Amino acid sequence: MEMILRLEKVSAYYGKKSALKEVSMSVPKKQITAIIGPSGCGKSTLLRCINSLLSEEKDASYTGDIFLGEKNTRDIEGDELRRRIGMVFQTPSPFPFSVYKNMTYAPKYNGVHSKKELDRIAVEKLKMTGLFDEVSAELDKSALKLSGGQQQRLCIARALTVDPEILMLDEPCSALDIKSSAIIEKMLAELKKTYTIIIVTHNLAQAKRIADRTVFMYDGHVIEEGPTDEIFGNPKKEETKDFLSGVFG
Amino acid sequence: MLKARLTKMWAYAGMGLVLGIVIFIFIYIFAKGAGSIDLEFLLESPRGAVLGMEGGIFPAIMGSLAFTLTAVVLGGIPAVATAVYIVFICKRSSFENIIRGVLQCIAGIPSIVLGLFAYSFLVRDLAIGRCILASSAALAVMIMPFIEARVEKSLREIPQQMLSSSYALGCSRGYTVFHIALPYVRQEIISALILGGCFAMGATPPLIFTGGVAFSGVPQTLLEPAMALPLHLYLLVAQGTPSLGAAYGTAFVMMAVILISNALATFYGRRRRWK
Repeated sequence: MEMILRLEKVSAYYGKKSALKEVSMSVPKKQITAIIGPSGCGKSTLLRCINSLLSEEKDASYTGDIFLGEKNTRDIEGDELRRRIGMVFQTPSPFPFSVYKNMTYAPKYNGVHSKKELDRIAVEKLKMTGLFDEVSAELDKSALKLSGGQQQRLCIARALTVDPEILMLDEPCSALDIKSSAIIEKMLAELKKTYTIIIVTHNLAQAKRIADRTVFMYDGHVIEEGPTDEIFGNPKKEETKDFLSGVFG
Repeated sequence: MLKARLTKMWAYAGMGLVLGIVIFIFIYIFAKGAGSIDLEFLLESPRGAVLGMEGGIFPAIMGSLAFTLTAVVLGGIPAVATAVYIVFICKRSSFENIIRGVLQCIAGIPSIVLGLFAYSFLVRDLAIGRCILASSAALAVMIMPFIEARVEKSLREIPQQMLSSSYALGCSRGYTVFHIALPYVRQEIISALILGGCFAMGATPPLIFTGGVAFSGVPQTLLEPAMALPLHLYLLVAQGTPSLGAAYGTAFVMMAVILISNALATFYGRRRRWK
């Protein structure tokens, strides 16, 4: 199994407060890896380390090494790293302009200016998220007018416009209803043919349904990682058992 | 129980007093000034044995507009830039605190000192002479912290996830600032600029030594001195009874301009952004 991402002893700090403690884990290529764990265990911080978004924040920093392929991410420019590792956030956050402009925002930054090429990117990625049929007639409409589920799919489509190698999702369904969540889960299963996906989720059933591999985190540590079936079916660590059986979390 | 009622009464009394004073001032000035306002007053230059007794205040209106607009341009650009720097670029809280301290110091400088500084540095040492530009530089320093504080506040209110989304797409801070942040707060910036302009328009001390004069025509360039409403008002009152009517008229016009601008800024700031 080819690993696309490898973390070695990554620790993260907000000021003096430590949020991650020597986390080591790896992510297989073109599979879905779910990160589960109780609130405040460092799941979101971990994602922010991987795409180095953390170093954009005031008084936050991380130590340790993260390898994308063979390359240490510290040797990759922050903007370039984030282009290669996309991220979607918890609450849908479309930019407050039209659907089309949301889709062309990042390509334009990367120097794509021909209308034809921009159209191609927008249509292709909207189709990937199944949104195209729903919004094709109203690409000029404000993205804020879409429903919550549509907004979140738009954000995923937007993240794909720069052709990332990895797509990270930080609890993408927590603000959505069951039906919208189901659509997104189906879409992710489709997307993993092209992209590597890391999803942080609170919803254990969701992790069980869609993830090939699951990582359990607790209090800034990775307690256990492995194939989803094993983690859920036969957890080795006491904390994992407790969490999965609902003792805490 | 009694304490709560007393507190409530105290709050109401305070509000009533403030409101009463404000309304009284407005009615008083508008009543006294309304009589001297006509087309001639608005569109002619001041005349008379005691200057301003006859004629109008047109050059002062135009002068005030020139001072204000120049000050808003000179002060607004660094104010917005500073706000962007503090919110988006500066990563160390300690450095941010230093900048904030400096801004507070600037806000605390008495405006007459700013006028004196502009006079000795710009008018004398750099020898640009008494002119609108020199006065506006002093006014700009005065309103800069005021505008900065408002713009910074609105920048901080932008949803963090929206900015993070832009960074997460691999877009630089610069691109994010110009394509997301500044357009998002455009209305707040414009309303901050208008309010800063009102603040500048009412200020007299920075003009006294630097570019405000008792009599001139409508200014043609920024390198000549000009009349200004608050300074004209000051002179009319200083001259005593003969020109007092015109003084109320001038005050009326000034308050009307500032009131309308304020209303405009409030209205504009409240409109929902980006449909």
